[in-house]
Amino acid sequence: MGGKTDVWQGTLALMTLKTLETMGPQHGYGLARRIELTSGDQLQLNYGTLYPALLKLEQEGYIRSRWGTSENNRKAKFYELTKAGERQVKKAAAEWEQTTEILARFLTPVEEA
Amino acid sequence: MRKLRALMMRLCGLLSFRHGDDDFAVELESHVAMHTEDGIRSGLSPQEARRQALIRLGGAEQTRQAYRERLGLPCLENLRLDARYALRQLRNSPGYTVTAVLTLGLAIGANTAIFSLVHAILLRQLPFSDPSRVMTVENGMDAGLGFNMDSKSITASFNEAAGSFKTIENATMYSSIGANVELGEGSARRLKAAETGARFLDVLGVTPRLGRGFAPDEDVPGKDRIALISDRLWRSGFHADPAALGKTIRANGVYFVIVGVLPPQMDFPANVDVWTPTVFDQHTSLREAGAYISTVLVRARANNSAAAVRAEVNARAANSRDQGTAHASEPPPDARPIVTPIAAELTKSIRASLLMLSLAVLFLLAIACSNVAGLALARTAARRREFAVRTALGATRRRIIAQQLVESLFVAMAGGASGVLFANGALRLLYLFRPAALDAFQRPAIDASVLVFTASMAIATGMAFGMAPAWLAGDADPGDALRAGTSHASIRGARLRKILISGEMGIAFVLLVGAGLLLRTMANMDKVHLGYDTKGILSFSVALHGEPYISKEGGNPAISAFCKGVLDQLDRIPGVTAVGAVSSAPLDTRADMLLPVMAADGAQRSAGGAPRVASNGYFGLMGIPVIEGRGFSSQDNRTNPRVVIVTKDLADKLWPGQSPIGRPIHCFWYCDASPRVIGVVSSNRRFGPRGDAISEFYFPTAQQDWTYFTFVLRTSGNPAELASSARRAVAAVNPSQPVYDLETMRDRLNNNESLLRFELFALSVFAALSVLLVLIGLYGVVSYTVTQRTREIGIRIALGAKREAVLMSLLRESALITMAGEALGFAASLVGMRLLATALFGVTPHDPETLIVVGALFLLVAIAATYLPARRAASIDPMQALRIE
Repeated sequence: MGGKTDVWQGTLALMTLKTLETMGPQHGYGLARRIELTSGDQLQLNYGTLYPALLKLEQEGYIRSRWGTSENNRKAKFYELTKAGERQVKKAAAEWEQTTEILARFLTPVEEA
Repeated sequence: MRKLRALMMRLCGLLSFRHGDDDFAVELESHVAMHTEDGIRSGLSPQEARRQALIRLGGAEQTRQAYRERLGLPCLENLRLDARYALRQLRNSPGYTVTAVLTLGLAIGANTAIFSLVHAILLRQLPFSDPSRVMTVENGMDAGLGFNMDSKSITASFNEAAGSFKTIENATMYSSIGANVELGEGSARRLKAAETGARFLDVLGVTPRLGRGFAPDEDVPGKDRIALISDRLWRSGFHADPAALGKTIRANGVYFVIVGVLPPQMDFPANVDVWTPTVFDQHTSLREAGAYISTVLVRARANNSAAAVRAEVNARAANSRDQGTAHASEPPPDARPIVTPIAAELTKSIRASLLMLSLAVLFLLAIACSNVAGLALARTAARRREFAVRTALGATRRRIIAQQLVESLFVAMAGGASGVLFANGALRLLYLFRPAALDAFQRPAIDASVLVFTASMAIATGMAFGMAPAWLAGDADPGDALRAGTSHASIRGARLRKILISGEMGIAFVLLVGAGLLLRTMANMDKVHLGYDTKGILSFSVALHGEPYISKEGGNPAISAFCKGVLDQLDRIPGVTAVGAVSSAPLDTRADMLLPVMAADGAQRSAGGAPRVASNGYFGLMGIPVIEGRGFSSQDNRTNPRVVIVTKDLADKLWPGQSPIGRPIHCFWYCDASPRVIGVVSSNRRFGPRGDAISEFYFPTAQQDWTYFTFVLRTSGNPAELASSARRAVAAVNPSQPVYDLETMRDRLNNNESLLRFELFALSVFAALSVLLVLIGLYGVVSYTVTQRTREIGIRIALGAKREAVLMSLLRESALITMAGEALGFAASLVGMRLLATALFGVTPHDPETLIVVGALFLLVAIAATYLPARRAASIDPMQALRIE
């Protein structure tokens, strides 16, 4: 599967939350495909890791789930953001931006004075 | 916060585990289906599309496992599995389970029973505010804290002295006495009362539950006729009616107005029902003739320890001695003041016994623990294939150890639960043998804190005996074990078991020596010549109060008439062979007063003696021999010359080497008519076998009034059966007189020795249990050895070893284990038995006979435990033994 990046632990949660924020309620499979799509197929998601991650978010109260019917008329579990989840997306996104910004400063070559 | 929420959800997940798991299976299925549909749409064959979908999922089973672990808590999940596995294992070996649970149950039960005593007595929260600041002061006279009879105003000088201490906030005196109490019209009941200083409640920090306490000035004449009553009396006598306040009660003939009811927890002094303020300056009303012992009670100022109070009291006493102002008749300077915190003072009679028994039950628990550890070790050895297989299949060492510990904990918990049941029975049994000292405390019960103690003890026990087997289980080398040879683990296990048994023997040895020493003490006490009979004698007391019986100059005929009347009535009871009366019988708990007695014939010798009155016939009835002169007769009355009978030791002190008959004596209060000695009786041990005789001098009841009597009657039958007849006899003379302390002389003697009896009983039971456990343990070890060595023994016998030699080698091994244990126990006894020293009588803590007997007994036990399995070993048929594997 060369060329594609595995997802880091921790970032998957943020991706999931962000995706749910933009897309609204999604089932697990749709969510996985959506994340891959958003990454421009740069990410290779091990779908099996998505479900424990979703369960963790649900246990933490950021998302909730209910059973519904998929576009193909199939019974599926849909996940959606809770109020706490909406706050968490903003907070985590801000943190992430800050982190990458700081890291970028280190990685960008600085011209010596 | 989020973490906590997640944890809670996972805990819930643990409960609804199956549901969540099934849910996920459906979700996963729909995921795979959707993915497969997408694959088909992009042109894959259905099979290939499904294959791809599963690959991208990373394996359906793995995903489910990951999900499951997130759903619940893996460690708890493991615990649940371990628990189920442990229960199954325990069910599969009922022999081990039952033995282990019973063994631990007995030991934990004994601990629980003793702990509930300790909890109710030593750990009791006293119903006083800040009880650590309340202390008693003995011998405080030189420091000004005492009953100063020289002072013009005892109360004032006491309060002044108390107020001058830097470390003392408040001080009071009290004295507890018996009282005939009438609550209204009707017959009196005999209760315990306390005469206290007005500040008594302030010193203790107790507030009445109803009404008020004493005001600071209510221990002066005219204001002192008030009383506080106990919650108990308020309920039994006034039906808990608040209108009891203001009612008048009569105690020892004096009227008191009830001003308050004390809270139910307030039981100080023990079993008192009526508290009245005392006018120390006068002989207050409640007092009965005889000794008056007042105890000084102080409350230390905040942040002052008992040590600080002790230092100041000692310094004050030393100072007053230096200045020569110490109380003149005070005993020699070595009677230094003693300051004791109230909790220690209240428990001093029983503390040492309880600590000794606590230690004994801990010993018992150690033995039980090591026995069960031995059983568990054998089980581990037998199960080493199981552990090996599990290890080979990938179980980690940690998992195997954890699983074994869970099993041990289950056994221990079951042991703890059965222990509570045992303890309940044991407490009842202990209470049958309860010492008199226990009556001052509330009855121990198995309450919540005792249960917490038992539970923690069970868990600690499970850990203690589970550790070694678990470790060895985790040690099992799969290759080694599966090859079915004798593994290192099992050899190490066997060695460990032998060491454990030696240790057990050492401990049991100590317990048995303790019980043996107490048994010898008991036997020695029974051998002591008391100087009076205790068989076939019933005794009871009556105290006379009120106007008809007031002491008068020259005698009150009503008093001697009462005494004579009761004696006549008693004499008429069928089966009674002799009757008598005395002011204070042997084994009476009433305090004694020693008066100086002088030889009044110019010899000028004096000695201390206790004054008494006795009826004619008393000495003969009690079996107190008259060794010179005569006893009292009916002729010794008011009209004839005054006479006195002295004990032998008093006669020897006053008239050494001479006959005292016919010589006059002098003393305070009772000797105005210069009574002459008419007889000498032998001395008696009135305090029981451990006490020495005291000097006594007796006046006849017909010549000297005394307001309390102990009547004694002798019968050829069972004296206890005469109790109701005795009550009727008193009622026939005066129905309003309460009869108290109605008991046989034998019972009095038993009460006197009740603490020893209690210790002996408890320690014997614990020692017997420990020996039984050791016997079982040793038997187990030897049987196990024999089973393990069947092949080896078979080969030996096949090669020509004599069967006796096999038997002997096993016996020798047991003997070695036993000797090691005995050496250990011997050394421990030499140190440990000092704890018992104060309880012993006529036997030293290192009594060689006891040590030898116990040592021999253990060898016998060892031989008994070894013989059966050893004989089995010696009778092994070599052919069969070799065919076993």
